[in-house]
Amino acid sequence: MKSTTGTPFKIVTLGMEQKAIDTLEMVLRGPGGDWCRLSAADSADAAILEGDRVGALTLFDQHRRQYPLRPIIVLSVREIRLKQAISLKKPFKIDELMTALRQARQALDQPVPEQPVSPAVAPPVAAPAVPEQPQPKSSVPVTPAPAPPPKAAAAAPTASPDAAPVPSVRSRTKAASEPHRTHDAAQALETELPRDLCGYAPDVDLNDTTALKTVFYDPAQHLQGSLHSALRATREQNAAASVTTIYRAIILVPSRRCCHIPMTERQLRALSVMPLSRPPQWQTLSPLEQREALKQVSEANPLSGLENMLWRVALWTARGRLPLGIDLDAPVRLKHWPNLTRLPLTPQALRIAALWDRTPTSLRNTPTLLAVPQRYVFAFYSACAALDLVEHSAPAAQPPSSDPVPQRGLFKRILNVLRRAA
Amino acid sequence: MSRAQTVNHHKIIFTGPVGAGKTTAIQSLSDAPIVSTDAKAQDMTAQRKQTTTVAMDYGIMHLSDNERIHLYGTPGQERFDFMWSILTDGGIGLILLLDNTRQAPLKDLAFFLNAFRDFIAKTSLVIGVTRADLKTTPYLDEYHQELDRVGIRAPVFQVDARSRDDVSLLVQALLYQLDPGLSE
Repeated sequence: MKSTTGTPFKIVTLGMEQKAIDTLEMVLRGPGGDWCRLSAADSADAAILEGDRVGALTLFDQHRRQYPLRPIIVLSVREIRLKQAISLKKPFKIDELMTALRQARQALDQPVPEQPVSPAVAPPVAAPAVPEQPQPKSSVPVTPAPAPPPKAAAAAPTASPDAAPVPSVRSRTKAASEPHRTHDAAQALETELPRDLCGYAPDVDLNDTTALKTVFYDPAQHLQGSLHSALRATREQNAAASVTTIYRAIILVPSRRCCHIPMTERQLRALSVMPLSRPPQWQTLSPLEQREALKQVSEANPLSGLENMLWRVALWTARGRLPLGIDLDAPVRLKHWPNLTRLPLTPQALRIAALWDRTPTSLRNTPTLLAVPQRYVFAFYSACAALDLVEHSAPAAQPPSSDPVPQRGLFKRILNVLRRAA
Repeated sequence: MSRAQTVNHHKIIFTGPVGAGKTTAIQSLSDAPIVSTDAKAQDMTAQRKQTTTVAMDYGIMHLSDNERIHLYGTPGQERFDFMWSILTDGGIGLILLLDNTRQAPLKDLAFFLNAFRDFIAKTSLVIGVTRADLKTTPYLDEYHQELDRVGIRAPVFQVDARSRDDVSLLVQALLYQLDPGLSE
């Protein structure tokens, strides 16, 4: 039975021998119904861990640290209870495996193919819901059981048939630059992290004027516009600003590169995604008003990094599109690289940054040159633009070369090792 | 040596002032315990660290049975700068780690940019700013202003030298700078 959802559910295997992987792949493609595919770690939705191998628990911990909200199915002859893990006792039948995979997909709030639920699979061991608390720097964050997002707050699906209801984020919220990195991490874990920051829209013909309209969005009709208006004004005055929202006001303190966001990550995302008939109001704060506004800052709700917030809001708002008015043919140049170790990484971000840093290239040509989807390029552009990191330059004297660098093979091997051990 | 036994060697250089995290960063990446020639620190260094690398740090990444990446950390003290040109010879690129809690990190940046200028011009540079969580200034845009002033372009990331992910991203950025066409 083929998947009705369109998008394959991607699985990475951990600690499995090649023979077992080959067998698993055959099962997924055949009797499993072909809605799951094996993939690399970075792009996977869920993981299957061989729980009986030596070092299985270490492997589990490592993977959990790397991907805190990714469901992990643990295969073992014993009953293993691990946080946020789905235990599947060996020997198991194919439909028991598929049931576990459906549970994993449900945990990510993705639609699942309809199949009867087998009673043989142990329910996932969900960690208890953890209220927002700052964590010691060295601790591994506890992952609360992800709750499904409120329907109204879900990102609007794009026209693509493979659009998922909630795009995913793999957030690099370690945020060492921010004075409250643990709070940023807790915020990211508090809601379900979407898998892809770039939306799901397929590439369009940029010469088709009708299709072209879907490529742009107007920041002024979103929270993003109000944030940037407030920042532009307050930076000149060296003041703070308050942006009113339907929840509580967001306080911006540009002089300290920080902000106060008295709402959950999910609420902020919901605000970012929704086009608004009237943009949120903002006002400059006097020093006294700023002090009063920041009295609500607490250990449970500390200050956050301004750059990180603007980047995320831009990505959520853009969903793989470009701000209105951008010239697709003007070469894009990075003023400087974004702080990518402390910002949510979009797919191919490093490659796009390297290209725009070295050779200004237009938004029209970049996806073709790098052989990446348009939405990856446009999402990265929109996020960089939010941090004022991009400019449009004159066309380069020579177009960027697509000839491989002599050491490319070596560099690929280095990348493979770096990513394999991550 | 037969062709089957030939081993290809490459190197990446880590540099920066004393205590910036070079030894720790190499340790984060190395497949084997690093070789570190530490000696008890004297002079001003003692105020920052108990030990300091007198000669160099060495770590290794095994790409395959016959290909290795050697990770060299330069000694942090200026009196050992004669080692730097020896170490960089034939290197893929330079990772400069700067400690944001030092008295004048931007001066450190200017110093190392000048010291390694020729190597940077031939290869690639990435800058990792450590301990920015302990002291937030100077901000990254101040590092970028210094780079602009001397006409060098390089990524600047905040890193925790103990974090393999952070150090790995520095190396990845180094490679992509050399070859943006490199696919993921």
